[in-house]
Amino acid sequence: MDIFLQAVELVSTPEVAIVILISSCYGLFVGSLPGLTATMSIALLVPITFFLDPVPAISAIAATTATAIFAGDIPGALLRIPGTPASAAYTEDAFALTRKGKPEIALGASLISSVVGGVLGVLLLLIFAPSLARFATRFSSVEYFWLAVLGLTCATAVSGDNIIRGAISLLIGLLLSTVGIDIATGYARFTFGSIYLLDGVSFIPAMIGIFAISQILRAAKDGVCAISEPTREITRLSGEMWRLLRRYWKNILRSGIIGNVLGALPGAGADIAAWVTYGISKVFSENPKQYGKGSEEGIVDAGAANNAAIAGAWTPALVFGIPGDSVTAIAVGVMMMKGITPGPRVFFTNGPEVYAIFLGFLAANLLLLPMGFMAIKASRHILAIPQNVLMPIILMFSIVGAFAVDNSMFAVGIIAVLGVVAFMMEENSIPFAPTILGIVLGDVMEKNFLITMIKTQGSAAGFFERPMAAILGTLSILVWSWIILRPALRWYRGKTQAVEQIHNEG
Amino acid sequence: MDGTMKVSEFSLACIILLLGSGIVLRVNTFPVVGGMAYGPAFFPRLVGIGFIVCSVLLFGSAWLKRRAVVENASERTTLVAGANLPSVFRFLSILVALGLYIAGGPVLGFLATTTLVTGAMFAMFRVKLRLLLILSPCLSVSLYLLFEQLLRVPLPRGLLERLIF
Repeated sequence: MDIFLQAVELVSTPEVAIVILISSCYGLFVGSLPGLTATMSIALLVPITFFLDPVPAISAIAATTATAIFAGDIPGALLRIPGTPASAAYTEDAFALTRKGKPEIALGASLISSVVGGVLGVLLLLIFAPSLARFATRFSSVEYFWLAVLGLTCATAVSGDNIIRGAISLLIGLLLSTVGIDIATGYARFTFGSIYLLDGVSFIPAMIGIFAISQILRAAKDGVCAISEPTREITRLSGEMWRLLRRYWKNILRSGIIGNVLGALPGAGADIAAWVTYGISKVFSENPKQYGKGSEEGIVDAGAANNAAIAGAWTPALVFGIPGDSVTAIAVGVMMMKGITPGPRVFFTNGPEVYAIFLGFLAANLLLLPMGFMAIKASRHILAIPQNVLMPIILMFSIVGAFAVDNSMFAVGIIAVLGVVAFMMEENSIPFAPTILGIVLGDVMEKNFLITMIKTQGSAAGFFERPMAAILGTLSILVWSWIILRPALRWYRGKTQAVEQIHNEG
Repeated sequence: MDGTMKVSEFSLACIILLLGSGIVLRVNTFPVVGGMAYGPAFFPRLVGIGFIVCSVLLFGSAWLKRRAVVENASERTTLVAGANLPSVFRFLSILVALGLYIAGGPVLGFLATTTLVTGAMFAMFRVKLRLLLILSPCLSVSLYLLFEQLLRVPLPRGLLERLIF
């Protein structure tokens, strides 16, 4: 209790309050710019943290991440360009709602789920941090392999009715993930002699190409803007938020918890948490056909999960010094620079500071409600811009956003190529979502597969020897069997019904 | 000619088959590392085989659809729909703009290239000339201030800007 009171004292200073406020504004701003990720915003923040005390420095990182992840939903909903990769899972739904003239539902769902998910995530972090981290560290390569397989299963599950087209999309993503140096042998695959491809296809330019450039190409092809005229003013936002909270509170709680647990797994992070919960949400939904076409549930579930995952990622980072994602990797570096060494003893050696960071995180998530509200209200000005003016502006933001990733024009080439590929995919009813998940999880799956095969000396039984691996593996096989057999069963049922109809008519 | 850029199921199957076959042929040239059963070719080969399987399934689907069209003469499917010329021109102009940016950026620098490319894009999207002349340089300068000055992203300077600054 003494430690907690000391933590309250540490966090209740004007310096911490001002830092959290400014960091939240910064996070909202950077997150809403297409192409600039939460990670990039944190990386840009690091030099400033040199001049701050440990608690405000880490609180700044926590506040920026929480607000940036939410802010990524704003351009996703209004322009179909997710500001951060974590918003990609439900961009189609949010944008579909905007096209139907309901941007307040898309953004309201995103804000309320982000706030509740974020607060829930921090509370879970406070309560369960040590035990959750211990559980996550028990995972070895084989569990991570099956987790990646389950993630890809989600990609296929969210791909719609046409499994073949969903599989093609997934394979495109997996193919892109194989570009670059092979981790086991160091052989450069599909790089065509380019040094820029040795590290693989950069995720951010890939995202910009797939979402933004394909949208601009569509607008150019159609001659008129592809985006229909939405509501000029975002009204009834608070009303919609409370309606959504009352209706989907169970979804928010479920996805918040799952997102938090997934965030605690090293290498998972907010974007994977969003994809997985989106898939789970679709499976449990009474209206799965609405997913991808403006599903409130999809936005609420994935929106709660990605914000809850941010807090989850701090669990292994603090307790074992293993960062859950790239943001916490930077945070661990800053903490060590400030004399706080993450590890099992951090709660004893720097207890007040650690709990003060948790409280700062909680304050940032609560502050997200009024600040996000204001950000959404201000965002309606984006809608007031004529579409023929907006498209070249988005093109320029996309180009500069891609260039900013590694300061090379090669990234601009990537957005052009993948923009065309995504445009052609959309024209031919091939969904984007599995491609994106394939890019994210392909590398994780291949790496853990190879490590497991080396460890088990090529024995496939090794994939089921550990209890958790056996559970995840069996689950993956069952879900895949269901996905493959479902169309066959549907076809068989249709044929049986047709035969019965002919008999009845006869 | 409705302006779509769709290809028929059969053509899509052919493209996917070519892609899958290309990947499998390419990965066959990858080196085999001694003592390792799963080299750099293993995972891409699986992806290539996956594409081939999908193409076979698409061929089957295309065949079934074709049969359904023949059986039901009232239904018509466009197997290959072309695109109209203005659509193609606008579509290609975006790609040309990106190409010009890649080629022009390092030579002309960020400010000049962005102003020119944005101006051309505004013109293509039929923005009024007065607005175009105001917006193009304003957008370039705003992006420059935001990314270069505030976010410290080193944007390409080019020969022109190096001479000026």
